[in-house]
Amino acid sequence: MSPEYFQERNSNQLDTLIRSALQDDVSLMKLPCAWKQIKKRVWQLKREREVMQACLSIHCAESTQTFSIRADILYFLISNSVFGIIR
Amino acid sequence: MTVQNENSILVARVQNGDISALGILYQQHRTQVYRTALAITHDEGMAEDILQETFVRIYKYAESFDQTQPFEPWLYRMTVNLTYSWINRAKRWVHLFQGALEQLKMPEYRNPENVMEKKEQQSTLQRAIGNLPDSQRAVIVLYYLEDLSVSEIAYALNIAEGTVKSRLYHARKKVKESITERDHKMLSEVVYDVA
Repeated sequence: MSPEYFQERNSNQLDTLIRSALQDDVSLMKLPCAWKQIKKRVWQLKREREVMQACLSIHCAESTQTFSIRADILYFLISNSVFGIIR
Repeated sequence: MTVQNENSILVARVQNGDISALGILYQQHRTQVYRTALAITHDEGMAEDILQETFVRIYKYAESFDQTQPFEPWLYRMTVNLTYSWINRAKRWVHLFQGALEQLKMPEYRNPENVMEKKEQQSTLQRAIGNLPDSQRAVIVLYYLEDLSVSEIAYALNIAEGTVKSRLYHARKKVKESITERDHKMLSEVVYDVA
């Protein structure tokens, strides 16, 4: 048999050994339940984006709205966001 | 509908702020993200943090996802990049607390007190893989554990295919050397016992 055959055979054996060692390494892994935490963080991000967008639209409409209306909207948005976080 | 289409639709829904679509992606891909992170870091806590951060980033950067490309390499790229940052952060801490180094490298779950030949060989291999540089370990994990092709790994790690091949070659060589070293050691022990 050719030396290439042995080389290939050895290489295949090594591949199998590495694969099996890696699989064995993670075989006992227990999947953590991270979804609750992810959802919480994503909701927070979503709320931040909404507040940011609302602030931007207020900023754009600045010339057409009176100060008191703008202050009311801003107060509503901030309190809504704060209550959301507390809840 | 193909899996790729399904993933693209889900990401498109995430782009529109749909958290339930992110939930489906999480259910479908959490195992591969956690497994990859765990195999590279060897740390359950770190792998859990990476799992969490990866899916938060999918939501955060869903808009940057190119829908003509497959989803999985993008996911692996994010996972491996986060793994690198976490490892570097951990290394800084390890530098400060040298005593914790061994614990970080060898958690309890992969420290079998087994004298069986196969188990010992597995441990030698796992140690050898664990001692590889981060860049080589990532390639080995993606190639052997996640069954990614060379071109997929190149895309996921943002490197040339040639670099992937060279990292695989050097990693294999190092692992092979560690086995040979172990065999020599065992042989010399047997010779000593017989003598």
